[in-house]
Amino acid sequence: MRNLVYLIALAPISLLGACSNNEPQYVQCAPMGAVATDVCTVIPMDDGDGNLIGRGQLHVPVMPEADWDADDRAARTELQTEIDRTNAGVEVPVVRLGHYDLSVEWIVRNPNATEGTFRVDLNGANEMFAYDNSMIMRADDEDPPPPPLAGDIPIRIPPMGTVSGVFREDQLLEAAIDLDSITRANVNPFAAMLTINKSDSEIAERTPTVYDPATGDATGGDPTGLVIPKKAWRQIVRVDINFRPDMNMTLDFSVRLRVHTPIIHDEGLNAPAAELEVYDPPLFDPGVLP
Amino acid sequence: MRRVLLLLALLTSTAEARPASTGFFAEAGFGATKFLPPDGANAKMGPTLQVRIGRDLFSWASVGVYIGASSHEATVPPPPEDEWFQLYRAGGDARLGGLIGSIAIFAEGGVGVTMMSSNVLEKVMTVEPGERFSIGFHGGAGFEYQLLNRHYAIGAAVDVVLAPQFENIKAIDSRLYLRYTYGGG
Repeated sequence: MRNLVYLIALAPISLLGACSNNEPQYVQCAPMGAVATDVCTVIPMDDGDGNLIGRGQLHVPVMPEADWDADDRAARTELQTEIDRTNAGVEVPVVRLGHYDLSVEWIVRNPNATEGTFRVDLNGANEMFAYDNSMIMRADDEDPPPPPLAGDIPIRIPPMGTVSGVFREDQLLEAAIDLDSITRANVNPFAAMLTINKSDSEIAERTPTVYDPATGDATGGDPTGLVIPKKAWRQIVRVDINFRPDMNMTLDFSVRLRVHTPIIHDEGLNAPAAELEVYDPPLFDPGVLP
Repeated sequence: MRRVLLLLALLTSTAEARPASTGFFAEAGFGATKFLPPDGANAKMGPTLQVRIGRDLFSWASVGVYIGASSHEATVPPPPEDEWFQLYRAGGDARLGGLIGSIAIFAEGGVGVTMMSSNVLEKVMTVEPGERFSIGFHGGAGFEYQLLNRHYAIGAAVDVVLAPQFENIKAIDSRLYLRYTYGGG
């Protein structure tokens, strides 16, 4: 009997245990917020070559580093000191992989009376570079286009139907690593996408690959000796979506965050502009890809 | 109605209340919570757990504190889809009632704090950006069956829950529970 009393008395503790401190935060576009240019409902337009493409983007509501907890701010300095001892020249980013996990949920609606096909390409930006596979020049138009960070899978959609999907956290993790590999370590986009790096402990920096259109030869791409340890990999701070249907359709998407370090604003993109760090880095340009 | 009143009068006049302890007590219950319209369309009914600890002031009145949690699947316009959230509640309440034979009926009401675990209902504007907490009110009624052992009773209760800061979201919270009363008497 006494055991039962203890059991009932301890039950509140189990309820407290059920309260997770890692609850998801859903990020949606905030048309009246600090990043009014974000687009979460993507309506494709003709790109001039007869193809439909729509572009959406959504920022991660990261707070300015000055507003972070002192311990979290100090962690970057400590990490930089640690890395400088062995890998001098590697810059520790402000927003790192360990700060949060993110996933992207999307839904496509087909208002047509005929079956259609579409592709959803995931691209994105870290704090230094944005990557858009559709903007990279190829040596030959016959060459396959560079891959997006994830997606690019043809999906059928029934007449008047809807199809939903998700880019999972592990896909976004891999995408963030690939993005950093391509833009910081000069890894070829094809090589980056075709290898799984999430279990790696470091990325080896390479020299930029230069393509000579006259000879068709590529030079460079050799290891520089500098390695970027996993602790210093950059996280995605902006999700970019390229939506490519074969007829008029719409795509809606949102981002789901699981925050491990309190650097995300509770109010999401509805937070006051001064309380958000909006990263819009330049588009990465690797030159002409061989 | 007249027959019911007559039956109650007969019960109270003839049935001798079964011995029941009064004093400190603890309750643990489980059940289901269902949001009422208009928010009922944005979240499914979900399982709930609640624990209550209190003190009988008299045989007909008690006060207590409670903590509870319910889990719901959000059914907001996608995306997101197939996502769950939890509603945590804690506070204090009071209960008035009486034992008729082996059955006790009661009415209860209380106030506390309600917390929503995520902002998934922000999309339908049930919660404002950054809002996670609300005052919570609840009120309802139930009955208990006093077991032969005077320390134990089993019961069922139904409450209406109101959280004003969450756009006045309302829910029906029902539960079955086991009660243990420590005291004598």
